[in-house]
Amino acid sequence: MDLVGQVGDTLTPQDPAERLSKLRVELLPIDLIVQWRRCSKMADFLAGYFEYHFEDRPVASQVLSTGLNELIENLAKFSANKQKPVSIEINHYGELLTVTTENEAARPQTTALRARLARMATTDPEELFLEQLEHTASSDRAASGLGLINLKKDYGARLAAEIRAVPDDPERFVVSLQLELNVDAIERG
Amino acid sequence: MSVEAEYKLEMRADGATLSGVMRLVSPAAYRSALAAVHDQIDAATGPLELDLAGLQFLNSSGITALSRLVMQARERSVTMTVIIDEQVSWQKKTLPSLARLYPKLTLKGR
Repeated sequence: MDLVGQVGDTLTPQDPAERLSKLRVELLPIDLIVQWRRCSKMADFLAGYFEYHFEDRPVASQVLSTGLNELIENLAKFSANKQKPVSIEINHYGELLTVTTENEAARPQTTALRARLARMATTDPEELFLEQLEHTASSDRAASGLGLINLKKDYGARLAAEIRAVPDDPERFVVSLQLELNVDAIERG
Repeated sequence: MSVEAEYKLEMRADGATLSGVMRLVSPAAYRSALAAVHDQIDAATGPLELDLAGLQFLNSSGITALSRLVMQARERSVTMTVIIDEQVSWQKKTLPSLARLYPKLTLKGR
């Protein structure tokens, strides 16, 4: 199966000239693995940085931290080389907030993500949510993709990924995961 | 791996209260953290109340863990009330979906 290409929801193209705010962070997954609390600290920091764009700052901060924490934990868990930098970039375009994470992932994880995003683009997120929970009821496995499903279900997020090949390594892929959130969904909490 | 406890679990005769921030690394970590609640559901002879109103953040591994408590209650037919704070976004949004797993689970706002 060719994993390279775009998968997931259709996102709204953004004009960089209309960007109001941007923050990009690069970090090493190993730092999150050895001190898991850093995922939460980073999510809270990024949420706190962007809360000033919203009328109800505590609500916005809570919503943003919840979503960002899931994406950061995924970067920690699913990056193939924990010593290779990953990035998180947040852009605010007025009515839209976009979050892009980028990391290198192994073939099995990339295959699973691709399938998950394709399914999420065509299936009711509430039903997917319950299905995932029932499916993993008896094991210590995490309900796969639950964090991403929740972002769609609870905040109407649109999710897509651009997958690129890593030169000279057919088992590794660069995954750029893009999340788009309407500002009013964040405001509503 | 170093994990600072940012959450508090208080057990009572008729349930438990969970508060703080719970963003543990995996479902296995939650199974260990919530072992006392699992034991309480196993031994329950009456309804139980789980107070989550003070739980500010819960990650998706935690939601999976909560769902396992709900499904365990469902298996044992234990009536469960979950106390929530509707000002806390994840509680307002996610817990109603979780309640669909079990008809004898009721959500009650604090």
